[in-house]
Amino acid sequence: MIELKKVTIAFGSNVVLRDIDLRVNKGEIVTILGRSGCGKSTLLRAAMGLIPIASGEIFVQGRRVDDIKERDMDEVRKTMGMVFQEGALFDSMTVFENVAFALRRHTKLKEKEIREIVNERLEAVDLEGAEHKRPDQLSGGMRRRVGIARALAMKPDILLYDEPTTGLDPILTATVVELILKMRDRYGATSIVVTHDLEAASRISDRAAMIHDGRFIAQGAIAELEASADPDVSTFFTIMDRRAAAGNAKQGRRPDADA
Amino acid sequence: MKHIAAFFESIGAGFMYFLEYIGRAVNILASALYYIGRMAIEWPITVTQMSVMGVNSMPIVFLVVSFTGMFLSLMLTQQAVRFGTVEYVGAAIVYVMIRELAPVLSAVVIAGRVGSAIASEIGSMKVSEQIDALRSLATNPVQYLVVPRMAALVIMLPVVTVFAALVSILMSYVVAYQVGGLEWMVFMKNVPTIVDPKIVIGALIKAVAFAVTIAIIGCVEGMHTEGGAVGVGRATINAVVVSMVLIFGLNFLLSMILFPMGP
Repeated sequence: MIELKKVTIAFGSNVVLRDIDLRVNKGEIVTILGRSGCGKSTLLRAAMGLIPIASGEIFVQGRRVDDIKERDMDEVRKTMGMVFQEGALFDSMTVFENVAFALRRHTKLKEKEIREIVNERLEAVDLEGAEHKRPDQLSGGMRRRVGIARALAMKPDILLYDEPTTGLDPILTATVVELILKMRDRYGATSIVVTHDLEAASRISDRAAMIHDGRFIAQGAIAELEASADPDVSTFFTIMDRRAAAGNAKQGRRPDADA
Repeated sequence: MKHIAAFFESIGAGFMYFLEYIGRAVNILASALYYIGRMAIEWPITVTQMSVMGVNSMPIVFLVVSFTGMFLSLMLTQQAVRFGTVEYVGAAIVYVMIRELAPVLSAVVIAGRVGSAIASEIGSMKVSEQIDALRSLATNPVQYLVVPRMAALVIMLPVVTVFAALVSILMSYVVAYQVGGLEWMVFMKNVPTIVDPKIVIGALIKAVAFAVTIAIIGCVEGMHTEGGAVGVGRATINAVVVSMVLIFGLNFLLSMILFPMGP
């Protein structure tokens, strides 16, 4: 479970997020929607303790984490996983070493067991056979999937996904969507997903929240948000639906066709 | 009035930046010392860094100190032959090389070669979110990135300095022999009277201080890199420039403290 209470985040005098309240229950998948630069990724980074908050409180598994030492936060982070927008793979390591990183550092598993887990995670993201490649030999989509495999390696209780499907083709998007659902269904993982992809969001979300001008302006099921009378929410959905339709048309599919 | 206000504002901003920089450096140094004190050192990475930073730097360090020693020897031997004081050439060169030039030149070369590499490597990791990825994987970047580099430099810079002093003395003797016909015994005749163990210990203390300086400045610049590829370039340049200025300043300060009475 993860909870943000009245969280405000500022960079100098620039307030990016103001009075954010969000509670994600165990096993729930909550999607954060909003325009580029509205602070969606900042929210994830604050939840992971990567940036300080100006005010408010953050709780992870019932423990307050916004005022604890970095060393104590590391213990909390062992139960969390984060998928970065561009993968953020360690470029001096192979794919295998990237995925095995946390297992080697934080568990006493034997190398053979680590190998089995890494292979399983790579298989889950359709990257079996890529373990010896270096990040610079991978496409953007492959890097993203290795990032997902790395975040899943320790089987975390909480997963934070920053634009996990952006730039992926429909088949890979479907793979990632299934993976997010599988982590919830099989392991009961709690997830926060930041995305622009409304189609993916509608498939994975138990709830969604939309940020505009640094505040949550709507929260609820995707269908509820879609039917919202708020002009900012409806404008966002209209524009994103048009973009999706244009994208589908480009690929020769009906706008309402399932990926 | 506006210009005067702007002038003082820029001085104030510069001073604040200076204080902030010192704060960052002290913060990283304190964190690194915490992990070193608990022996939480990543030895495999440290050993790799010792090879990359120390062993691989030796050829270029030896070249620089050799030419410096040869030049010094050429100058001194020519004058000594004129004034009939050739038995002091060796002592002067050995003294200057061990006490000042070997530690400073080794540190300057390593600041250029290694300090820049530390800043650019960590800076690239910072701008591509790899530092955040490390933290998200419950790994402290200071322990994982700074400590191995600092430990490797603290171990290797004194070693490089010792070998640099030996190589430079040997090469300066070759020049003294060629120019003034000095035999080894004549070259070394007055060395014991002027060079004592305190000089060697002082040189090693300097090497350790320079090693910490190069590692910390490289890491501070890297860890606070912003602005993509341009930012990485800026961090690399800053790491070298700041390290070099600090090496020369520290050398003066340490020489005053360690050798107050001279030879």
